Amino acid sequence: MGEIALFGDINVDVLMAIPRYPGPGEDAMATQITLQPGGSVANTAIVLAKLGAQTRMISRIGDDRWAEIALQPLIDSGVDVTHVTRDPIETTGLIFIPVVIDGERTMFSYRGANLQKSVAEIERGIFTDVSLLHISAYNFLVSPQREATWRAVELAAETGVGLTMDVGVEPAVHAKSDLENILPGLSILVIGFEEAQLLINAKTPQDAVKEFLDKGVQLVGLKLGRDGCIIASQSERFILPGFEVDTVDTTGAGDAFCSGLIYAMLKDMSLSAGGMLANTLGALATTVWGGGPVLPGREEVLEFLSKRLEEFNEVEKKMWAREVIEVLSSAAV
Amino acid sequence: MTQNFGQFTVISIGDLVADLIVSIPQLPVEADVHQLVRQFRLEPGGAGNFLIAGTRLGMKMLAFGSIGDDTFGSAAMDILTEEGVDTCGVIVQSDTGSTTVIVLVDDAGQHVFLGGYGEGPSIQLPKSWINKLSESQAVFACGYTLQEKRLADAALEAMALAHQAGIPVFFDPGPEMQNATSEQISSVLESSDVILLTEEEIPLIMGGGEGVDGAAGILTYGPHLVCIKRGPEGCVILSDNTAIQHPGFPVTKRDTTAAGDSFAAAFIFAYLQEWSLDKVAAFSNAMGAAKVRKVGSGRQVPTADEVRSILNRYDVDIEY
Repeated sequence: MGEIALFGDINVDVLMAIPRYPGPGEDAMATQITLQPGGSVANTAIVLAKLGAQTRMISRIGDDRWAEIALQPLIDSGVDVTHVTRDPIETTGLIFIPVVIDGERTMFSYRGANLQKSVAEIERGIFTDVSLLHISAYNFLVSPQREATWRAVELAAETGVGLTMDVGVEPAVHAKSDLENILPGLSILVIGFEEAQLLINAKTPQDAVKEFLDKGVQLVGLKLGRDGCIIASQSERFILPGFEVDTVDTTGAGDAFCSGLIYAMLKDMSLSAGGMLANTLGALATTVWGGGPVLPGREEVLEFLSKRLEEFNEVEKKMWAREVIEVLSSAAV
Repeated sequence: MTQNFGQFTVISIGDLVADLIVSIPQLPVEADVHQLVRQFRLEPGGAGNFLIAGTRLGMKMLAFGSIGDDTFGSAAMDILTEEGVDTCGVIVQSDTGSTTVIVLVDDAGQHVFLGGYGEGPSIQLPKSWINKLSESQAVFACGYTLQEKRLADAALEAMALAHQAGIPVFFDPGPEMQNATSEQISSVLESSDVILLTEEEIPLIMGGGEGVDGAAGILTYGPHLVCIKRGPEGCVILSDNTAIQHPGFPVTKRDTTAAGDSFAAAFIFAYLQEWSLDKVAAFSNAMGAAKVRKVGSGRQVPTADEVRSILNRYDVDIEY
């Protein structure tokens, strides 16, 4: 039984700790090179599965040694990978991430086999027992993944499956028309303020939220980094400050946040409790190094909110936290 | 035309590298800037270029060295095996990393290297290496090998053993020789029969000597041949009693990566054929020219036919 299908990249992150960024012709010796499972949508899938949702991944990986590194954490988390296919030629997506000592990082993405997911692989059966389809806006950047994504969106609409989307910087610039076309059909839009500015020229976060809602998006999760987020539907709007936590690494924080909003919709939670769950997951994701299997799930959220419950001064926050705890506690895992 | 497949067995010690070649729109590398990679390729770098080039010339190439039990090192070794290189002398150290170099190349052809030497416990000269050494006709090592902390001592020991057994030892100092200790340099000079180097590298091994005179000085420490690689200007080979020069082949330069490694393979091939030094120089230069006119390293090093086509184009009569 799949409650949610997620269509997007599955990658391996190659993290290189270097002393400084080298100029052209120079070199920088890495003190450490580590491989970690990655991919924004794969991270979201893992967190949803760890929350207890029935999760199905749609993607393409290579037929190589990186494929196992990328796939195993999804399998271990309980994600259905039946629709993750193997490309005989292209390499599994690899993201090269040089990280300098002070924590600054940059990314070079080789999306490899992910981009080869084609229309022919998107069949109606994917949506059996699924109520939501989540996609990454990155899917619209390159063919044939772009066409395959549009096919998935069409099938989702035909079968009454809701659509959710996470937007990054590149798609906001280079896939503008695809994104504009898809906005009116979205059940959830998760987007950072920087991306929102690139996509719709909004001046303030509030303007951005209003414009997205006006375009027909049912629920907007606008990420404001350390300042938290704005969660808004046509009838309600909440500005939620972020939780104070000891941040180690921000990898996967936005993906985990996204999982919270999707899970809340799957479980018919209130908008405010959904925002609290998303914020909790986003904050907890920054307390661990890397993404993938180390990202938080049901147990971590329950422990975090149970501890914080007494610290909330506002009655509303206590109510929202209680709702999250109640839903997660009663959900079968 | 005759192909001497399997006739000569050549051992390369160390410098086993996984090169990850990543094509990006633009350098420099900047914080918080996300770039989409246009192309990604993994190739065996360092000695891998030498080993593949040697295999393509018909020699039996054996890799000695060390990698970690990581995906990049294993992938590079798999490629070497597919290319016909014997990797049975490669020691895989569990819980360690392989020497890995990420080469970022931008649209303007600029590049930066992000890399890390594989580190692990020191390797004692394995018995299997000693057995294989006795069956070989030539041994090759380079300056990078001496920078592999876990391998350097075993590599120097293997070179010395080969030298004592009368097996010619070839050494290419490379720019990393500047980090070698004086003991390492002495050991290399004692054990080597042939030194292949650029003019810039002469002071690194001769403690200040420069040019042809500096290179000739190397001959007083043990080696009986020194080859100065001069890029587009060809090469000079010095022995105790002769100095021959070959001007090189005027090809369009597209990419010099792996040119020195390919040159070394060709030099050893020609040396083992007991060709005249003129012929050795011409053949090695033809390999160098064949490499620089094509882009890439690893599996992109020249084939025997590509070297042959350079020789034919310039009417150099060398059959192999």
